[in-house]
Amino acid sequence: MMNTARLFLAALPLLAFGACSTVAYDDPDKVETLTIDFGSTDLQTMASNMVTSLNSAPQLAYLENPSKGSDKRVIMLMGGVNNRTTEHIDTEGITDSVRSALLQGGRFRFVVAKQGQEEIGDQVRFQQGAGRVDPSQARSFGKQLGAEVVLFGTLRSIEKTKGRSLENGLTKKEDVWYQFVLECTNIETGEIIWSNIKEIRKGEKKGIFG
Amino acid sequence: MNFSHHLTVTSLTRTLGACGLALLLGACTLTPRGAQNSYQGTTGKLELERIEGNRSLAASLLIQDPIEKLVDGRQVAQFKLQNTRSSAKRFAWAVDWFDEDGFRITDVARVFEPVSLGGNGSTYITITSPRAGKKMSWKLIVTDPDEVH
Repeated sequence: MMNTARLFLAALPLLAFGACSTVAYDDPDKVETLTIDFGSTDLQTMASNMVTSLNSAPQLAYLENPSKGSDKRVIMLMGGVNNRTTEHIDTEGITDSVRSALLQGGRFRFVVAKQGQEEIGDQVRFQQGAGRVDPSQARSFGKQLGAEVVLFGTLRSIEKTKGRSLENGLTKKEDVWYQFVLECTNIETGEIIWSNIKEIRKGEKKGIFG
Repeated sequence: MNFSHHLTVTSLTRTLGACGLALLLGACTLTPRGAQNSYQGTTGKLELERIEGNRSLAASLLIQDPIEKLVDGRQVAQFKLQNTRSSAKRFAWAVDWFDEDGFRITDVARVFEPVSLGGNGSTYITITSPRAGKKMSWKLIVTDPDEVH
């Protein structure tokens, strides 16, 4: 009876700590390693790496030629990222981060992709046909910017797992390697004028109780 | 007397066992947290201004051989990070850029990139200014991988 009471007393503080749950705002830049799966740190790292490389890529300098007038920015279309991993990853999160950072960098202009064309079409048809918009201000089709380059890429992974065994102390090991490839292609010539690869490797070791 | 003594020893063993198990479970979730070290430099000035709030990290991870050059008007700097310990070192780094007037350039988000460096290993970090310009300055921030958990 005494033993049970002592054990209960010893476990009580631990149970109390475990029972505490908190909600708090946290730094979005913190390194996220909750699980081995693709996470926010991976997305931020990949996007940041590509943006830095693109902003300083000399391969795109020929597109910033004087014939463009005062605005020499490169007109870009943000294509998609093909997810070839086994995980469900919203790759638009990567493309949105890359596009947003590139826009702020001031070297590129972006034309709207498929997602925005329907909204633009609806609005132009409304302005032209509804009779509610001042005709002098009604926008028309045929004046969109033509993209010079398109940016698209691939995300792939290789995963390996080593199960629990006495040999490795009943621990379970997982390893995942991500490769993110982004390419910039000249739309007119089809030439790939810039390409960059960012690789990330993550490992997880689960203990006996993990 | 002996029976009572045996009971006490058994209960003590059980209590210690329970505590040990709990500590073991808790140890699985421990992650390193710590203060940051920052290294600041400006164009043409290779001597780093160091603020090392995390002495443990500063002792085990040396920032060496800073070099820089201009590429298409953009400042590019490179550092060597040397792990002085024989065990693997995990850390995260990020860089902030500042314009000629000292204002932080917000074109790119601050991203802490996690790095794992083998024992006595070294790696190089190359940073490029987000804009072309002269007299840009940068601050390299190195920290323990302060993790979301």
